[in-house]
Amino acid sequence: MNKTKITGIVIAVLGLLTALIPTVIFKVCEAMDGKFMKCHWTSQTEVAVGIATIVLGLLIVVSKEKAAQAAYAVASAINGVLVILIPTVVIGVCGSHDMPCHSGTQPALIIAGSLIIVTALINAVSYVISKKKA
Amino acid sequence: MSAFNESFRFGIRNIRKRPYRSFCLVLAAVIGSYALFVGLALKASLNNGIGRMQERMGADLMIVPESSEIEARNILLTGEPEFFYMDVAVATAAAEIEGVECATSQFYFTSLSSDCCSTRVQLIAFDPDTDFVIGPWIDERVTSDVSNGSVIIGSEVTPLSNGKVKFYGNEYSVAGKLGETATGLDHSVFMSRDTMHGILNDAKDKGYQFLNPEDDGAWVSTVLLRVSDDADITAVEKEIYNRAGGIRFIETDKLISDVAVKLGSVENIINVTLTVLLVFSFLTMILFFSVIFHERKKEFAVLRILGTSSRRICFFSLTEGITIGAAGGIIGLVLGILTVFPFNHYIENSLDVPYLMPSVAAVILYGMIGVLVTTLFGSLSSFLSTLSLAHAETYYTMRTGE
Repeated sequence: MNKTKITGIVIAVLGLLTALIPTVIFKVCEAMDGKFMKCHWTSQTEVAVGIATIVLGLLIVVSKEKAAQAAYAVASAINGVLVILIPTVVIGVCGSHDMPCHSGTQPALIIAGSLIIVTALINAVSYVISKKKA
Repeated sequence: MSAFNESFRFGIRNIRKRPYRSFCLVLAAVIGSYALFVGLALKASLNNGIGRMQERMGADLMIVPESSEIEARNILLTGEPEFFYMDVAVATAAAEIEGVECATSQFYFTSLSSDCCSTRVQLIAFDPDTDFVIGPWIDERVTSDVSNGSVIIGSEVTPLSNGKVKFYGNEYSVAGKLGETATGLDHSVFMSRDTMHGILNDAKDKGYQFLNPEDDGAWVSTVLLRVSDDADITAVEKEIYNRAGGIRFIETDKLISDVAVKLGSVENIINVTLTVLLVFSFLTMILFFSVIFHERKKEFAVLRILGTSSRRICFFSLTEGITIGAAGGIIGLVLGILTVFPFNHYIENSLDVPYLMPSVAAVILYGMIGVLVTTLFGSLSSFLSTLSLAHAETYYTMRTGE
């Protein structure tokens, strides 16, 4: 198995983790007095971004065109940036450090997003280097 | 220098040539370094936490209503918002007892979950004239006076985006933030009695009534006492009890020793896990290296025939061991940092004991210890494995299996 396919698998696994972190691994806060807090909407959005990242990772694995694989990797990196921005800037989580979404979900998503970016960039950069060598 | 470079290159080539084998060895080193770094950081955080708690508990004795001992402990240890009241006469009586050096009272109430900080916080009104518990550490960080309408927030309380905090519909400016105490007080907001009176009125308007705001001067939640060194704390308790019934005493020393017992059991779990993982890491590395070097006996024999000395071969394998140990150690350290720092609040909430991260210098030291120990494991296990082959006769080794 070549390195590009391995990065595709890693991206797909990280996408799966992104979807599982706010729903299973570090669950966001329950509704309070029947009212959802913003971490709930962060969770919903992260699940969607996570699924999109899984699809992109699998496309890297099945695609035979090197250029297409690099393009999917760049798209995955953008998804990685979104994974970080959603719980920090775009939607956010609850303000208190005591809330599970603040102390658990947010740092876990930031780590997952960073790993997606690093893995995707390794893929894209190695494509650029191989293109230059050719 | 060139001999070292050659050995290093030889070692790296060997590591890269057998990725699966190298992965398993690095994984063993990762486990060792990760366990050591996380274990040491956790233990230091727990010790720091109880140390800071001891330092910050300015009172020797806390008087609370008879039925509210658990709630009062919760406020101090976990910051769980609670409220309970007793007659202000208890404070007056306690201050008059011989042996009581200083006495102050506090008034507890809570915010709404939707107000500020996404969760309910403990609101504490104190008396700046008699206070000896909060005052000494508010002064460290205060940015302006705690006047009517401004509050002091605990280190874990996050204000709104405009820098204010909101209670029962009204916003209050933050006069200062306290340093970390590793107690429930990190999750509390402190204010003067005047500010409290305003918030109680707002709460009443919204349908939440703790006490009638007109009567709030007649009630207190707790009385905090500092007893002089030569006084008998039990005698003081007895004297206060004779003058004011319906109360219970919480001794700070006893509270801290209760926490220390809980902390001791958490520390035992960390020690056992750390030891098991370190032994596992070292044994796995020894086992892997001896199996690998046993398989590579013929390779070493060829090197001997080509004129490489036994000492040089030992050096080659040592380089491999050091490289694997150091690489695993660094990866383990990075993973440890990614666990301990981003999730420190999560760990604190899960352990439910005072928890305070150690200084940066201490963290760097633990990281260095982790990497050094796994590098030592790698070099020792590779050296021991090569040593067992050093006495083998090259001729017989080459003919083995014929």
